[in-house]
Amino acid sequence: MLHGIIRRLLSAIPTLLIGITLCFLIIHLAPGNPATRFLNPSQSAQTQEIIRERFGINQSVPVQYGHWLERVLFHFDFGYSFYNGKSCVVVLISALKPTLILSFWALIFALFVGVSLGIVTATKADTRFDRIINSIMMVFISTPAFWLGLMFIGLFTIRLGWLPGSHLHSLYYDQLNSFGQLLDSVKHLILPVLTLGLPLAATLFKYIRTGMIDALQSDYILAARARGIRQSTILWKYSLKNSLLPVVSLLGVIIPALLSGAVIVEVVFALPGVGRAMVTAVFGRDYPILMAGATLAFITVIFFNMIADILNMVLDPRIRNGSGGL
Amino acid sequence: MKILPSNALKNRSLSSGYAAIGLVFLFLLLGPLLTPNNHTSQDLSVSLQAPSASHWVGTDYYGRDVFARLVYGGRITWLVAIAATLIAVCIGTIIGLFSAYRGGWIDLVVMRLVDVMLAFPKLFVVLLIVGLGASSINLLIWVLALFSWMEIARIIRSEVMSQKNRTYIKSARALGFGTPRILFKHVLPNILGPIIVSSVLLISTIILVESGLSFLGLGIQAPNASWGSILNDGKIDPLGTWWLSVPAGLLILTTVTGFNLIGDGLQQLFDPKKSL
Repeated sequence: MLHGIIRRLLSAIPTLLIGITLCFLIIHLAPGNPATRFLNPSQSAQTQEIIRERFGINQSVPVQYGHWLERVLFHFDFGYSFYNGKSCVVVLISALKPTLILSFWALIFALFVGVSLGIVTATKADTRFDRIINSIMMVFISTPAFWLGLMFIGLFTIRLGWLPGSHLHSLYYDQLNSFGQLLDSVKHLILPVLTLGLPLAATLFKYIRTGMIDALQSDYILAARARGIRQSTILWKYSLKNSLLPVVSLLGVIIPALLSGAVIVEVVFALPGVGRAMVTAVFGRDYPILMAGATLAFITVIFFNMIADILNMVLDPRIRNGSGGL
Repeated sequence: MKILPSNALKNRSLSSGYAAIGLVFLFLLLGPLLTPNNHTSQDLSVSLQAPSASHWVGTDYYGRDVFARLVYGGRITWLVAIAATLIAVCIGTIIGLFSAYRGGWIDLVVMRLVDVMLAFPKLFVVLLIVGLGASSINLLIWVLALFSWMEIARIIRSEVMSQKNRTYIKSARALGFGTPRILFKHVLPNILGPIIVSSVLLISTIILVESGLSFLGLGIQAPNASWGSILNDGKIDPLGTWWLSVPAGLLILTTVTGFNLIGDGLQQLFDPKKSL
């Protein structure tokens, strides 16, 4: 198994290199160089030369590529924001906390709802209950997150006034005692987490339900039933274990979806996260931030893909021994 | 073919999908006949009016008729989604076919590229590119297409792999047919089912991404409308100005659900075992 894990770790290296190169190409194949926005005809030739040198655009593209690769790979340096001159990594990491909190709870919510509903409907396949839950989930898969968020804000924040619809805390957060602070944070998180989590829960539900129905019809379940093993043991111990395996592989789909979804949800709920930093950067034409954001998001996904594959190797003997599986 | 409406009625997903898409399509097709209003002409004296006899779905902040904007915005949303899907399907089909048929190192490199592109969170890259260029409808279509072909390529590759060693391919090769002829005339018709299913599902995905971008103000630019940008107009008080936020949202929801249902239904027809 160790051999397999090492091979998987090594195979991530070319993937990372290609991805980082693609990010560079996207910026440099686009017409005009971003840094030219600092140049204008009224500057003296000398000033222009200094600016060119400062942004490294007086060098040829391959040289620039070499620098970019070296900085990213060996110094984890993505350059500096055009907007405030801060290091891109610092800007994005300081925006990471809201994104992480939001994505984490949305994932937990989605797993809980998706898995439990998936199991329950699989045992009652083709009943009226199954059909109703299925239709509801179909709608949630197709619901644009920003619309769901808007409707939540309209209903629960503006009409009913039950839950706050923006920011991570209230203005008077510092004056609350620790229980009050916790309650305040939880209240602020409910609507964004639901907005991000419900469509994801619906997607997971679809996979779990299919996996469970397949598992419940397979021979080993039939054999377990013939031996008189209880229904609940069959359900929770035998079928669930096998239908959870695909969910681990789904991490590769879930993580990009969470990151993209967080962009929209952070904008709708005014959360100061990575996604909102990206959108702000688009409007400010702050290319270093955009480039760093896209590259870091890519590295995150590659990392989780690797974790998923290794987890699969640990959990699934067929893949571990290289004798089939996915 | 089994995708014709008469056979589809027996399949619940497919018939409700066709119904939903048919309704939205009729709305987009016949909309302009129903209203004399133009979707870009402003009239500040009727800013943010609730639905009335002269403006069936009310007016937006600039007094533009929301019904007309929903019709023209929907046409743009559909156009972008369908055009981007067609381009993505072409790219994905060609790359998937050749990668699988050639095999060897070409296949290895191409599939690694597919893995890499799939690992980019779509919205992040699209933000990066839209941030670079002035956003036009053409740019939007190409960007969405260039980051959507990978799944199609992957599906086609695995389908071709399973067809590659069948007798009919071997006999075609024995007859001396060239690779393109074998791929496009013999292999492609046999794997049309999965291609259609994933294209239909791709339309849904692209509609969601496009309306998300337009909602952020980065997709379709004013004075043109898209369902996403109309929703953005209603974001201050979503239920107060419900005629801006509810109909556009329901139209996106109906369209996306419709295409998803058709995709699921077709999958059940083509391949009952693999259906989700």
